[in-house]
Amino acid sequence: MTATGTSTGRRVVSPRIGRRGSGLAYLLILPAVVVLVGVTGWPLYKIIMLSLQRQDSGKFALFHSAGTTPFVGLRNFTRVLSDSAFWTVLERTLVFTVLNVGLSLALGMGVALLLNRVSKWARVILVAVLLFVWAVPSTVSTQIFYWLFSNQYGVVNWLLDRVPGVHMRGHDWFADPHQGLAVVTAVVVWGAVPLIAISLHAGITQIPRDVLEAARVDGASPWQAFTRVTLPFLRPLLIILMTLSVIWDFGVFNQIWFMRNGHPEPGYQTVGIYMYSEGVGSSHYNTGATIGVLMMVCLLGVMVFYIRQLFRIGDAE
Amino acid sequence: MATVVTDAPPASHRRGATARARSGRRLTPRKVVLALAAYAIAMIFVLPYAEMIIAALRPPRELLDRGYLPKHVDWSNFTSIWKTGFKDNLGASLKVAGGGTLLVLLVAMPAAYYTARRRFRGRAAFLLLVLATQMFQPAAMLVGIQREFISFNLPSPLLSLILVNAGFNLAFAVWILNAYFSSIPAELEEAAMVDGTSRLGALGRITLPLALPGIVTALIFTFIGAWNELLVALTLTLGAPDRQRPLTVGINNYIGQYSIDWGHLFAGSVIATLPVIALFALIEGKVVGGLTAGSIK
Repeated sequence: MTATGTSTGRRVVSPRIGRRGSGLAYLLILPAVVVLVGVTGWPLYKIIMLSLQRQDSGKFALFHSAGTTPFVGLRNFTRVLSDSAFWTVLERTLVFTVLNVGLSLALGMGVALLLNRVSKWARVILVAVLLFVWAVPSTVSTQIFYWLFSNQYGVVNWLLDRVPGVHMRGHDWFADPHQGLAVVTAVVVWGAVPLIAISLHAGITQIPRDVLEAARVDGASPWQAFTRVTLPFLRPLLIILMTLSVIWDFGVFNQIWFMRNGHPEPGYQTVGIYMYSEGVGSSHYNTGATIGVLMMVCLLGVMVFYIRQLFRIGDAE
Repeated sequence: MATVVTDAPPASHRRGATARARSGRRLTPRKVVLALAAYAIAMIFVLPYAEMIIAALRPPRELLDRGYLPKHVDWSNFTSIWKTGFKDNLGASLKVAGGGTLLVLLVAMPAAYYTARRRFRGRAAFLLLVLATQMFQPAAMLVGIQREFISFNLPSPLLSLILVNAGFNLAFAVWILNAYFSSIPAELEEAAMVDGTSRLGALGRITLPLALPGIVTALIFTFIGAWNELLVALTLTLGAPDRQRPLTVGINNYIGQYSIDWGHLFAGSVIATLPVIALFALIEGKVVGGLTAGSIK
């Protein structure tokens, strides 16, 4: 660009530059497109193709059959969808997702509101702790919680056992998948709250003070001020956080995998684990691809919602 | 924890009328309760991690002890772990996360900058592509990723992992950087160029420093994402030698079918957290602002 543009001349100048520089545009954007399409587009194409091809199991098929496997239409889908195990897993995943997203958002909002009300010192300490927890990898936090809840050494059993009338010595939290998944929920929420709380806290600080003040003067109770002023203002941020949480929790893998030492029992299977054990674990790659496609379809609705919201925010800017 | 946190809004509701005088510096009961709640929550969040450090420092004999602090501090877990192949796993993780982050920034910054500054044909399509891929989960496409990298036949699975991690974190980086660059007025750059700086000079001296919080946020997200990634690493290093496995996979070596090497597991976990904590400490203040840039003006 020639340095002719003054601040007022920009609007006149830039379209011309834009046209002339379109080669540059594609040069600057091409690398991103190549990485995006190469790393995410190709596998997507691949799983769609695989899901339509005959189930060819075994390592040999993985390395050698390139395009020779016959297409079987939707037969893989009818097989997966008529398997009651899939529906059990899907139902479990949905319940898990709703619970985890709800808890993460509710607790995150609580912490965010608290952050905006306490003195500077308490706030600085709490934010530092939250950043710290956020930085702890989920693989590590899962080990910690597994240890806390372990039947022999676990501090949780020890503490609960001290409550009169409760006998938890040697209690195995992981014998019953429901209890085990509750522990998984604790890890997931523990890891999810910091990001949500810090983002919402930053969002709340940007609410104009006079708006809240006006609500108060007009006689709104704090609860009304929260639901009528704070929540609507945070709505775009909440929707983004909710959508991301749904996507992360729906595809939960690390926490369950480590909590079960790399061998999740059937009762612990969520869609991600199920896909891994059906697809990669037992070399049924076409079945795995089919489950993957079904996962994508499940998330598609969430995606549309998210994209619309983001574009609306983009337009407003 | 649940009770403490969810109590916060109703508590303010009940006391709202009496605590109107909060502008004063007086120590009202309400303030005390809130501060205590904040410290309690901070404790709840940090205690599990403290427990891990303590467990890593416990001599094996004292692992079953109920006292919160060990009687003897034993650093042997932290020294002997370097003989277990942990070093290679740590190196592999650093390569994957570092390489992935570098690639993301190199690729995302030019694209984000240009889409923020110029309208061109295909701009909307590009942004839509970015958003759509943000929703893609490695989990759903695992089999496809595996096929792809088998056919690429790269010399090391670490290269594949760098590419995969870059690819799946790129969308977020482009989006957040785009929001940042858009928020910096182009007039600032033009003013600098009128004053005699080149376009690149204006970029380097004006735009990049202003966009730093966004760059840092993108960097942190990518690094943590790659550092934490397990599923793809597990799949792509299936037949690979142990030294080519990142930490998330390698740490499974301490978990046997029947017994767990807690000491090494926790020492390794503590060490695995350090690079991320260090990264956070370096750029701490920049993150909070970066998070909301794309969502709330």
